[in-house]
Amino acid sequence: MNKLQQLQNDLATARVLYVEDEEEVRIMTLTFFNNIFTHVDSAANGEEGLELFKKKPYALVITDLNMPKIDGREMLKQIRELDKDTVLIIMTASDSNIDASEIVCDAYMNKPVRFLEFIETLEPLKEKILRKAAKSETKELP
Amino acid sequence: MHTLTYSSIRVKIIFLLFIGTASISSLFSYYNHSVKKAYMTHELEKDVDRKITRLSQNLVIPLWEIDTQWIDMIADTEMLDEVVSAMIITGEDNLKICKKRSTNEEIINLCASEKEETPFISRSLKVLHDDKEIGTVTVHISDHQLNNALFENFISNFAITLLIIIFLSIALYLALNIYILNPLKKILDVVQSATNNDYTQKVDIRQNDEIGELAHGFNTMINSILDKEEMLISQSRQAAMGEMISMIAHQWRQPITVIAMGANNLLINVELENSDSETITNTANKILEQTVHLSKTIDDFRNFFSPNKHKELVLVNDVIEENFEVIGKSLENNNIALKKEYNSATPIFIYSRELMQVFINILKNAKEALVENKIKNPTITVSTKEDVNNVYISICNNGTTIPGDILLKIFDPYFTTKDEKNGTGLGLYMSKTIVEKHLHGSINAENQKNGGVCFNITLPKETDTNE
Repeated sequence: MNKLQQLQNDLATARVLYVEDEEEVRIMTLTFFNNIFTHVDSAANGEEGLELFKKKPYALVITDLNMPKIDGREMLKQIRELDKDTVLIIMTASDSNIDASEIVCDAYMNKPVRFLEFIETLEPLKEKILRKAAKSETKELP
Repeated sequence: MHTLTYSSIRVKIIFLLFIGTASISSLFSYYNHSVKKAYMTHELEKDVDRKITRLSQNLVIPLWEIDTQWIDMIADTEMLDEVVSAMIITGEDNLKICKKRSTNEEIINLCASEKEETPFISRSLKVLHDDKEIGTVTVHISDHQLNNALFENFISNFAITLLIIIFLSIALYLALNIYILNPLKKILDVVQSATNNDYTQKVDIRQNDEIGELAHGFNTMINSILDKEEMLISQSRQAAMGEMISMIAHQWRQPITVIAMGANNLLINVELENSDSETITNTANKILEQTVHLSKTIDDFRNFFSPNKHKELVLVNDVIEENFEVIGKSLENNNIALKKEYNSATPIFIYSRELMQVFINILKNAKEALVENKIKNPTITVSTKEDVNNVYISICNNGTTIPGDILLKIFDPYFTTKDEKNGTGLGLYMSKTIVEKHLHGSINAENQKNGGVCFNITLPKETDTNE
């Protein structure tokens, strides 16, 4: 079993939320995530993302930063206030001169993202994601 | 520029020379006149003294013999001298002979009446015979002769002085012309063409004096203005290039991300041994689509930065729209809303690329002002309208207002409120130069009442395509 299949199996239970305002980028990236994760939802801006997050418990949120209505920073801050266990990953273009330490997140990736780089970033967070996914399931069960 | 009515140095000098010539020759002639008068009076007095001494000796015998006829003859002879105005000879036995020159130059025998005017010079001498007084002789001298002589002298003197001074003045004027006025005129001509931004003229004066130095200094100044202008242009071009790279970065961000994700998906397909040819074809086509995007961006920018050599008949609205092709993405990425109010429908004959550069500079500034001050609901409003003669374009943002002292300076070269990394201080300066010098319009910046700043551009409707 290769690394990708391993990851697919491990994270099969995790719900993933992807937030990105550029439609073409969102569609292409969604195909990418659908190949890795079992459950992926997507939103076009921070506001939509927050609404979705309030409805379903997501174990992993992957988001862009510059977005209309509510931007990535604000959305991540509010998500963290709602749930401190959810794993947050930023995926944004590098020209914005971002100080990652100022933003609430578990990992930070520059666009364009390479497939292997993505898997390597996810590896150390796997356990945390699984813990959160498991917690959500137990909450949902009764 | 001139608050006083213009009068050339030439006129002033001619006036000064005229006044100077007149007063110097008058003063000199007056001085000469007084000296001459004193001298001539002195000489006349000496003559009179000699004359009366001789008379008193000549009259001894006639008076002794009381020969009135003889005395009369002597007196008449003496009266022939025109300076003598009157003579009075007295002798013993109440002898009194008077001679007087009347106003019409006749000699009359009449003794002095009471109201006779005081003579210019009067001399009396006793006539002595063996130390005994036998009579007196008195001679009155008039100043007519003296005055006539003095007057003639004065006139000739004045004329000579005047001639000399006029000659000197002309020489002085010619010298002034050659060494100062003509070179000044040359410099002035070049200064005037330089004021109209024609820096091709040079002052051609080779003189080893202050004027030569002035001409040389002026030429050096023109050269340094040319150098500076060249430097400004090259700096602003560099700034524009930097700007272009940053805009391309914005423009390319999305296609590059899509292409990268497409490639990732292909890799995943390989990894999962998923050889579904439809998926692969789809992905590859999407990647190709994106490269078309990338290539279009390059074309847009290449058009934008190749200046047009000829004027074109364009609609200002179209130029603005073309602008948004280039800068639009950068505004969108910063969540800046665009409002467009187009109310101009007449094409005008202009250098459209240069106008685009102006728009880009203003839009870029507006964007930065909105982003830096973290304005809520940032909006840029672009509106156009027209009247019979002009097209008016205004580009407004809803950011903060600019303090008055800064507003006055924003079109100055090298003036920037940004840190060195972000601003060259040339964008608005170049914009003003382009609008005024190349497009023959005007540009200003004003604060809005509700906050934010408007840049207003007025362009003349130059529809004459024959230019």
